[in-house]
Formats: sequence, structure tokens, C-alpha cells
Amino acid sequence: MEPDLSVEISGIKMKNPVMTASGTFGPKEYLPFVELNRLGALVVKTVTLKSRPGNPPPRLRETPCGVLNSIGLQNPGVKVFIKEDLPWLSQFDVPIIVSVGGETVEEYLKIIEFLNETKEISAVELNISCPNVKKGGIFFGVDPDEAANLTVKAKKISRFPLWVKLSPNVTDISLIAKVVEESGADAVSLINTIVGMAVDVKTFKPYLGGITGGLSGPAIKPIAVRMVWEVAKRVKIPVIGMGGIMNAHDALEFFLVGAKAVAVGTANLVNPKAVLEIISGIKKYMKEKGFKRMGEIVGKIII
Amino acid sequence: MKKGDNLIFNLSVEVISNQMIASEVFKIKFFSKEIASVAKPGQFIHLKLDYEDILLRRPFSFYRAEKETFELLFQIVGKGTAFLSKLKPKEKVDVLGPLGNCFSLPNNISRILLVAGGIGIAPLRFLAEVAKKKGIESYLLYGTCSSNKIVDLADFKALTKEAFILTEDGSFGEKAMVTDLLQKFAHEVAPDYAYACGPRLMLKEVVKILISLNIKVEIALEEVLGCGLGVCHGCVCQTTKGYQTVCRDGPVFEGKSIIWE
Repeated sequence: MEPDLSVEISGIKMKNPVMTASGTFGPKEYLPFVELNRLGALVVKTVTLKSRPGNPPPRLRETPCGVLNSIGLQNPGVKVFIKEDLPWLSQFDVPIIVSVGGETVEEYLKIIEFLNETKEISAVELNISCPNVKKGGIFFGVDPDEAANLTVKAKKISRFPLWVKLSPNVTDISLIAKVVEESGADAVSLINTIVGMAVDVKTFKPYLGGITGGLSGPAIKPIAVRMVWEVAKRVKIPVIGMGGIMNAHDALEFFLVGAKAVAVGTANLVNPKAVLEIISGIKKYMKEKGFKRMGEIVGKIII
Repeated sequence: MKKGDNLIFNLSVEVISNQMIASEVFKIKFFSKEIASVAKPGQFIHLKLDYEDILLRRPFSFYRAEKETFELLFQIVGKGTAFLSKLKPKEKVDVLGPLGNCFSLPNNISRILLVAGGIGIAPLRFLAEVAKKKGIESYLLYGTCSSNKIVDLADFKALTKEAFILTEDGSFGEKAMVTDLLQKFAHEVAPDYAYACGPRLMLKEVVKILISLNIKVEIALEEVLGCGLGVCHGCVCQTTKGYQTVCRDGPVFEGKSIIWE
């Protein structure tokens, strides 16, 4: 019998527990390689209230086993997203999760109001952890009071389940997770990138136009696994794990420490078929080990 | 510049040959009917190099593509290209492409100027070959730092009406940079269109000189790329239309559209 990979997160039924991480997967561009209906869910690139040009280049720097990026939430704004991208996305049988970013509480709320008018989306993910914008973003993710205040207000108006994406750039991520849970979040996703920096010793200049950037890729995976483990022990809402997942074994580590689902980010940039390969890899592992449902592995780490 | 073909392949392709053709400069040939038949001058291929801690793919523009094979030119600059230089025939590489747009070659032109700096010769060789098949005459101005970096000279002489080669150290041809002689050369050739590829500082100067002579120029930019598909927005350059991705909106841009730092 085929193992059942389906999971339910905040009332959203997913065929499998693997989704794409915000900003790393273009549904149109990846269509030649990925059958979208096979994804657990699709988290779209963060939308902001107005269009954002993004940060000055250079925006990427590869470091050992990782990538530093300073993209700066380049996007056409929520209105263009609703008008141009959403109708196209709705033809697929896959939950659409919209990542939302803002400079102020009011901006986050306004975007949610726009999204409330749509029918095609399944959940809102509050991006309170982008390290590459001067205002907002990570500001809300590193202060428990700010995180709570925003989550309470967003939950109050959102027609959709509310996920909150957490920043690893804090002393105790499980505290922030607990606070957003108490403020009404339906799920937490973690981790966003870790703030980093790289310097060119020939020119004495930072490699990135934005000076600092967010580190992603295999380099951050052990940190992400540890943080998901800490958070999963402390909250009751579903935890979505991410950070350097390149293959099925990486994803399984996250399940074992308590992630109910995972998201794949940097791997998409390297291998456009990464998500599908990870889904098949999980299925193969479960078959081999005789597991029938995800519940048999989620949080089953033996300590 | 034109939009590239929409057909993009993600394949594991076999190395046919890999040889050093100049100091630290290699020519690698792959077998792939799919890719070779749709690749256009200016487009590139994104190579996944499974070596140590290398994560992102590495882009290389097509040096040549015909029937069942395509060739790339690369210079050893780091770990990735060092690894690539050691690949042997029959080994396989995961490739993604062809990606990006291509040089335009409008229908009504009869002579073009190619300006190459160093390894920037790669996409221009492919362009010269396609131009020749269309009956368009190419004039090449090609500079390298030294004679040991010059590639496939005989080949270029056959492909172009005139190939003017120079080196920075004077070890071959005139001792000069392409930007020193461009004004004079371009004036003599009086091309309908110009194409350039090379280091950024050279391109900036080339564009300035050609615009002053009222010659339209397209340039192919090199950049660190993420996805190669226009998704991550990691490779943007500043243009008159705002930030554009080098991987998808480019790598070929109209010279006048670039806003240089």
C-alpha cells in the first residue's frame, strides 16, 4: 500500500507535507519542470502594499554551502499580484499561501484586507523576518511585543488561517513562537535566513550591495533543525520547518524534530525539480521503513 | 536583443572533449541534440557542478552549437572552473538551458562589429558563425591581456572579414586595449550594428564610444546568477527600465539601456 503523505495544517488539507519557500520558486517559470498539482502547497513570493524595486546589486554571494542574498522584497505589490498572478495560479489544485510583508502594522493589515477580497488563497503567511529591508520586516520578528501586537491585529481581520514566519536572528525563537501562538497564529514557519556578511579583501568592500544579507542553504540546516525542535516542544500549533533542505533526508530530520510540514527554498535555485524529488524521496523512505502516515514520523525523535 | 527560445531543458549531458586552448582557458564540448538545436548566440547554459561545497549553478554562454553538440569556453577563476577543467570525456554534467535572451541580428544589416575582451569572446564567436551563414560580414576587435590568452585565432580569421587582435602587453599584435582602438576601428568599418562582451569597465567604455559614433550596440553581461530562470531576482542590473534580471531579461542588453555604477 502506498504511504499516505497528506497532512492538515490550520484546516488546509495538503497532499503531502512539502511546500515551496517564499521567494525561491516561480510557478510560471518552473512549470516546465514541476507539475504544480503535486506540491503540498505553494508559498508565493512576499507581497507588499506598494511595488518595491528591491535592493541595489550585487544581491547574491555564494559562501561555503550557502548563499547570502540581499534581494530586498522586490515585487510588484499586492494589487498587481491579485490581478495578474492569482487568477493564473487558481487553475491549479494546490493550496496558495500568500506571504505578506510590510513596513508598518497598518501596511500588513491593508494587504490582508486586499487579500480578504479574494477567493483563491488558502492562508496568509506573515513575513516578520525578512532581514533585507530597512523598515519593518525583521523588526516585528525579533521583539516579542511587536510580534504579538501585529499577530493579534492580523488575526482579527484575516479571513484566512494565519501563519507567522519567524526569524532565527533572536536569542530564543521558541519564546517568539509561543507569543505568536498566544496571539492567535494558526501555524508558525521557521526559519527565515540568518543575517550574514561577506567582504571582498581585494576591494575592501562588502560583496552585497545591501552590505548584509540573509544566509540560506545547507550551511544553516543544523541551526534550523535545532530551532524547529525547540519550537515544536513549546507550541501546540503546527510547525512548518525550513532552512537548507536539499533532499528527502534533510526534510526527514525536520519531521523527526516535530515539523508537520516543510518548505524548500534554496534547493529550488539549484535544482528546479528539487521539490518533486524530495516528495518522492519521502515516499520511498516511508515505504522502505513501513510507515503508513506522516504522523508516524512527525516529532518521533528518540532522545 | 530578442527573447530566447522558450524551450528549456534540464538534462544530464555527456562531455565529448575538454581541452586547454590558451593559458588557463578551456574549451569543453557536450553532446545534446536538444540543446544544440535551439541554442542561440548570447544565450547561456547553467551548469551544476557537484564538487565540494559548491552550491549554485555556474552560467556559461554558448561558444558554439551545431547539430548534436555545443561548446563552452571558460577560464579558470575559482573552484568551480577548476573542477570543470578536470572533467573527462564520457563524464556527465547536469545542465539547465538554453537560458536568457539572444543577440538580435536584425534582417536589414550587412556588416557588424564584434568587440571582445578576454573570455568575452565566447558568445561573439557563436554570433560570428551565425552571421556568416546569413551572409553578414563580421569585423572583430579582440583584446586579451597577453598572447597566451588568445583562443582559436585561425577559426576567427575564417569566420570574420577582418579580425584585429591586440594585447595589453604587446606580446601579440598592437600593444593596446580594445577601448584605445575602438573609435578608429569602428569608424573605418562603419558597421550597421555592434556587439560587445568583456569586463564591465570595458563594456561601459565601449558603449560610450559607440554611442558617440551613433552605432547601435548590444552587450552581453556576466553576473553571479541564482536560479537562472528570472525567479530569485538575485542577478539584477540597473537599466533605464529599472532593475532587470541578467539571467532572463538579459544577458544581452542594448548598450544604451544600462545605467552604469
